[in-house]
Amino acid sequence: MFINPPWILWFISILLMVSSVVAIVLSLVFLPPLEAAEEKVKAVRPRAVEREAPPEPVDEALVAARRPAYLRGIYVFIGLAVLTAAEFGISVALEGSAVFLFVVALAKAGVILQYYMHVGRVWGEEEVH
Amino acid sequence: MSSESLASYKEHTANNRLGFWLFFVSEAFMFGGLLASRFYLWGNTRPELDQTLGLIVTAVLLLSSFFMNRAETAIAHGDRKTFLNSLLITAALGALFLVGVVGFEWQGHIKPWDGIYGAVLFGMTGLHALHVLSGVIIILIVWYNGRKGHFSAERHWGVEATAIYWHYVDVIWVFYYPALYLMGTVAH
Repeated sequence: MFINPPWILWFISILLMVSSVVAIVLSLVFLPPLEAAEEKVKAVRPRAVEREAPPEPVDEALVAARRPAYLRGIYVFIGLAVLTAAEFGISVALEGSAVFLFVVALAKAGVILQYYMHVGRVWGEEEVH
Repeated sequence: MSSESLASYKEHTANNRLGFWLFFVSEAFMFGGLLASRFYLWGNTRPELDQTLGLIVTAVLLLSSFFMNRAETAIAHGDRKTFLNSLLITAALGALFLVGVVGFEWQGHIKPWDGIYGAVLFGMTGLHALHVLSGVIIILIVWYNGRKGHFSAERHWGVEATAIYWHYVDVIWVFYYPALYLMGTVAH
């Protein structure tokens, strides 16, 4: 056989991925606009939607909640950076111990899933914005 | 927006979210299969790769995840300027990651036809790079739609989905980076 198994896997994956990308891009390009915002903008400037939308009215409660939300993102990033540095250090000190590196990788993935991907929202844990 | 319309939107979003996560489960099998092939074919060895480059692209992707989170947080709190700027920075960092992997790592001494090391390395980084590329395209589309006012603090599922997708790409690299660059001993 002129193609070995890893290459077949590679090509099938690429075919699947390219078709997924095309589907996602098409669905996003033809995304229906936010009706309320569009109507509001059209009322002010008939062709404004084609340019840039005007700023929305400021909600004081949302503005007050911004700072802690941004700070949490920074803390999570610092935590991930420290874990990445630890990962690199472990690989040097323990000569690439797979077990320790996997433990650190799992910790990093857990942090990303919880704080960046908001996995809790899947079962209804909405965050306060 | 009326409360009835918002309630309907939230219900739709909950369904979308569940479907999206199921898509990630299917993706995990694909990426997991490649990760398994790395351990099956390489065992406790790894090819000699540029450690500095590996660490730099990892840091770049980590930083891009931070800005993606910042973009999502910004739109959820009605901060449109930060939202748009953070999206652009995320896309730029994603492009930088691609330059690092495709422009530098792939130009190294290992080629796709170099036996198990080439096949696994290019299979894993290639599939991941394609996801990064698609993520960058999606982020730019979201940025374009965001400029036109498609998203608001109450309605931004498109942004949330893009952010989750981008972080998922980061999670994959969290496992791929040590598997490719750090685990095992260098094979000569």
